[in-house]
Amino acid sequence: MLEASLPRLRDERPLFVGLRRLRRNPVTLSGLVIVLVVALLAVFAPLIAPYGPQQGNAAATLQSPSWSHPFGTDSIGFDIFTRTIYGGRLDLLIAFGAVGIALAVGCAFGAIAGFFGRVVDEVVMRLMDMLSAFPSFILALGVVAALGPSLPNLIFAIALVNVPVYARLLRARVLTVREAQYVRAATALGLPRLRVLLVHVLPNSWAPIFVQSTLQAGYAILEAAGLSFIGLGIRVPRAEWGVMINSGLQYIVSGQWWITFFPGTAIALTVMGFNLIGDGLQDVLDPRRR
Amino acid sequence: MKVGFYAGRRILLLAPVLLGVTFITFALTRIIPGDPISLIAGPYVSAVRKAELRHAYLLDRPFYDQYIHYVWGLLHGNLGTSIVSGQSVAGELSRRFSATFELTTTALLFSALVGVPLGILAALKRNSWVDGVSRVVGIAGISIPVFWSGLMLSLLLFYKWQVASPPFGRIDPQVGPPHHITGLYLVDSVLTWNWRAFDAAFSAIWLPAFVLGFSVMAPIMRIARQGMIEALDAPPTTALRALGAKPSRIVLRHALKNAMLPVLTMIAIVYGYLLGGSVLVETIFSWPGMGLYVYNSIGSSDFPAVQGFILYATTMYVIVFLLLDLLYLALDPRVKY
Repeated sequence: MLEASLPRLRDERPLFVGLRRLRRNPVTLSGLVIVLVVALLAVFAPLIAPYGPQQGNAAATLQSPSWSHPFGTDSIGFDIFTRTIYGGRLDLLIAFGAVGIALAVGCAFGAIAGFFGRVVDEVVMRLMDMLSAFPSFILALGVVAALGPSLPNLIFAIALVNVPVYARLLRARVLTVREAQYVRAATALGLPRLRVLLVHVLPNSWAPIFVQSTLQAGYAILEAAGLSFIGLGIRVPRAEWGVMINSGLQYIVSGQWWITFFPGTAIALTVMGFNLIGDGLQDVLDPRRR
Repeated sequence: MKVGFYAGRRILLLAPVLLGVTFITFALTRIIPGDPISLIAGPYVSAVRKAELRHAYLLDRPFYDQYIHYVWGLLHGNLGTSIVSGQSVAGELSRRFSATFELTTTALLFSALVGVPLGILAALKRNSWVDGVSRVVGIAGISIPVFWSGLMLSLLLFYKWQVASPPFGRIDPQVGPPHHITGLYLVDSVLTWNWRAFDAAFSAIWLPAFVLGFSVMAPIMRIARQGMIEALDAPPTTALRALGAKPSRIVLRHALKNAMLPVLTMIAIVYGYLLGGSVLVETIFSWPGMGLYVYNSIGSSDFPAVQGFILYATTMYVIVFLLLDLLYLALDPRVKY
């Protein structure tokens, strides 16, 4: 009764709390807007793009930006604007795919290592040490060079180099959370360990995992575009930003800058979007950074 | 003594990590789809010759046997033979090592010499415009792909405005490299008082080094800022302030030292990114290092060369990491083992 008569000042449902916090965090908000715009453009590419992503026009090659081709055309007569929008499909797919797989596998490894400890921990973490002894771009390069350039191989390679990040993160969380009162209580109640892990430990770790993922997603795009740029990833004529930059490489000298300029800007903006989200959220989570 | 013990242990622990690394690079050759012999010999080879090659490359032996031979070869400096040139990969890479080392080190120096002061400034003027600007610059650095910024900058600075030297190599061929001492053109030209060569080497390296260094400036800046903030908020600093020490003296003599230690670790981490980025930057600037070599090897499907590079670069990274770790140990009196 009393509760009903009190004025409701704030909506405390999680979604609304989150949105309110977001409004006070312009860094994250701007990053979110960028990523959302890129994602929407990619999803609705067929509706927005004036041409097809692989629709060449032999009569209109190497044209500078104009009304009919806002970002110009390349040597095959592909419309750069169209391909830049379509490029977001592949690059975002790689970023989300690779980070998603790395997250699932890495978190599983980290949770197992942290929860079982001893030999299991030792074995899993030494394995992770070996993976992270490689400079990540170079390991990804090696994996794709061995498996052959293709979309699944690219996703696999980038996922692989990201696994240790999540394994370490979740292991550290498990080790600290394991001693927390509510986990000890759950264990004391005799709940199975797996249940404690899934129901009590994991939900309390999603925040750092999410922050990490936004940063990893940004880096995944850089890696994917970099690998495609050197010929180890997506191949021509598919629309991907790194490949597009490569296809404009030889035309820089003769002044056809637009072929490389626009896809590069797309990469930089998208990666920056992810980094802004992560950077802003880190401020919220880590009081030392304020 | 205890420090010596820790250092020794740290070096010994390198062995299992490197062994694991070799296992992964070895496993890479096993995941290549298709018959490795056709890859080595090409499609037009008789079955007899194939069998011979299979035997010569130990492919008729079990997996572990091949791995042992691989590691045994590595211990003797054998990284395999390039399919394209028929030369030893180790030799090809060693010849290109100094070019890559000079580029990555110059890039690292740039990012540290700019990133650390910016980070400190941001810490001293927390939440001011300086802090904001350095943050934006840092995020831009980690977001812009190096192969693209390299292209765009050489387009503007060389092709349009003619203020940078052409993006082709380490030194103007008309000047020629300085007398070989270390293999690092900048160092060698100083050692031999060859200023013409120094000038030519510097005008070739500054742009690729800037492009590469800019991409790793953010983490260095971030950690310097955070280290400085923590050092300034620490009790000893408060005590010094209470004793009336000058703020500039507190920052330079006391806080700086503590703030720099985490920077060292970050530099070690960042070195791996520099090595990865060097593949892309060397490609753009035709820099005759290991990165350009691996790019060309990828183009000609020369997998032993790619594999050799991966191992070489990773070993280099692991060693740089170890050296910086030991330096940390030497500098930090608080570390006890």
